[in-house]
Amino acid sequence: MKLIKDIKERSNVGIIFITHDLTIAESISDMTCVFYAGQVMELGKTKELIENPIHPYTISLIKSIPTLSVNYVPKQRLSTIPGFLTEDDFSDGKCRFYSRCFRSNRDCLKNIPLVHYDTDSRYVRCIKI
Amino acid sequence: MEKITNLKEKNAILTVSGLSKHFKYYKTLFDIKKNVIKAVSNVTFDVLINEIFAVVGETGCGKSTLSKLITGLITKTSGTVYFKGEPLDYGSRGRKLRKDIQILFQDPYSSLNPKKKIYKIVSYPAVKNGIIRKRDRVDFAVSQLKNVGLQENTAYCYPHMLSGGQRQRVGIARCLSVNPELLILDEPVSALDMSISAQILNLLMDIQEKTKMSYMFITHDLKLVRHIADRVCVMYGGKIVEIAGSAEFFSMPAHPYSNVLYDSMMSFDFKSKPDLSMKSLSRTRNEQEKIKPVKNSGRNIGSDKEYTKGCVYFDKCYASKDICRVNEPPMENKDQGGNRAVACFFPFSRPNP
Repeated sequence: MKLIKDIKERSNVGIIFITHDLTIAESISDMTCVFYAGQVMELGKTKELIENPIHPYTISLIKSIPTLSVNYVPKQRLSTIPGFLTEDDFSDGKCRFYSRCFRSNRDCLKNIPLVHYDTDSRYVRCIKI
Repeated sequence: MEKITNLKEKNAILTVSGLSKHFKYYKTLFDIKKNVIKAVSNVTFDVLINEIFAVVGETGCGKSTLSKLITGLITKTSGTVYFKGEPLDYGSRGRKLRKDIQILFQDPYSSLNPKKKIYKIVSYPAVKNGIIRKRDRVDFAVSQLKNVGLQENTAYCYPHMLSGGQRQRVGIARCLSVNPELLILDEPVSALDMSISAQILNLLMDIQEKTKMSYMFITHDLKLVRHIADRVCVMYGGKIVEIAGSAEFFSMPAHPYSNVLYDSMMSFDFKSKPDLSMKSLSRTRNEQEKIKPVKNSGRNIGSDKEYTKGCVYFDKCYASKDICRVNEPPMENKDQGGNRAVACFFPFSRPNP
């Protein structure tokens, strides 16, 4: 991790860092893009995105990480996203996170565009925000 | 090799005493003398009944070698492994015993045979160990798959048709098919994404609650250790440097290496409890929470130099003194509670800022 940061500082390269560990993304990146089923679900500055996630998938993802805070209780059940990603989720005509979302209803059964959210450089693909 | 008699007292399912594994290799093609890497040297610990025992340490410190030694996948150089009080032999003599130790591998992609259907993979150990007859294997596999939350039709799939989380569930079903008493989990969730890894961890904890089996959980993610483990064992350079109860360890790591490991752990620091309404998660972060890399000065693990005496960690250690170079610190109980053993002359010292 330190090596990657060093390389970035020294040679002035841009880095696309692909990971599924948000804690690593948080410590290394400036911008984070949350990807689901071939679509960008949320895009924004890492700090803002993790402190204030907007898309239901990002929220669920952050909640499933065992945290290290002082009042954290070990062995409690971790929150998960129900179900699996299936081939059906890649079809058009509905939100791709529709079947696993905790906010989804009939309004989500259409193609959802990636829209600009109020702050700078923040994009979200969800109509229920 | 005699049986351990005070098993009831110790309540241990697995006792490892003085276990070593040395790998020999030639440095160049025409070398006369073989070089030796001490991958695991003189490791001693117990895993208690119905306990989750976590083994942490950096890459190449011998964690996976240890798991292979316990399951008998490679032969040991010296030492003994006792399982349920009996010495674990290789070959046919220990087969009955070894059935009760199962291992779940890190990579669900490469640990399943791509040419076999899932029901064959899941039922094979049970058929081999004579638990079921071969003609019952489809029904058996389906019931095992249902136990781990998979659909019936997965039984007829090939491994490449499943997702990573589903494959890892198949791996768990295969382990559980012979009703083991000790499950060795070699980094079970490190290849999976966060929400799937949370599902797998929940599943593993449910299974443990139901079957009262013991887990030996090998990982390098301290977040998971804190979440799941009852006791923590820290390895460095093939040796155990600290064994402590999970609560004790995370309130105050004793060995300098444990301290460094603890400080380099990344996490969100939720000062308040996460908002369960799933609306917003506010987070504050201390300055000292930033990542501190482990100082990489001196030798690497598995380097050519022979270190026969002294502490394994002395040349990277912030607290090392001359005594560490000469004498090897013994595993000693350095805590009032008695739930902690540390191999260090200067435990509980903190790194200089």
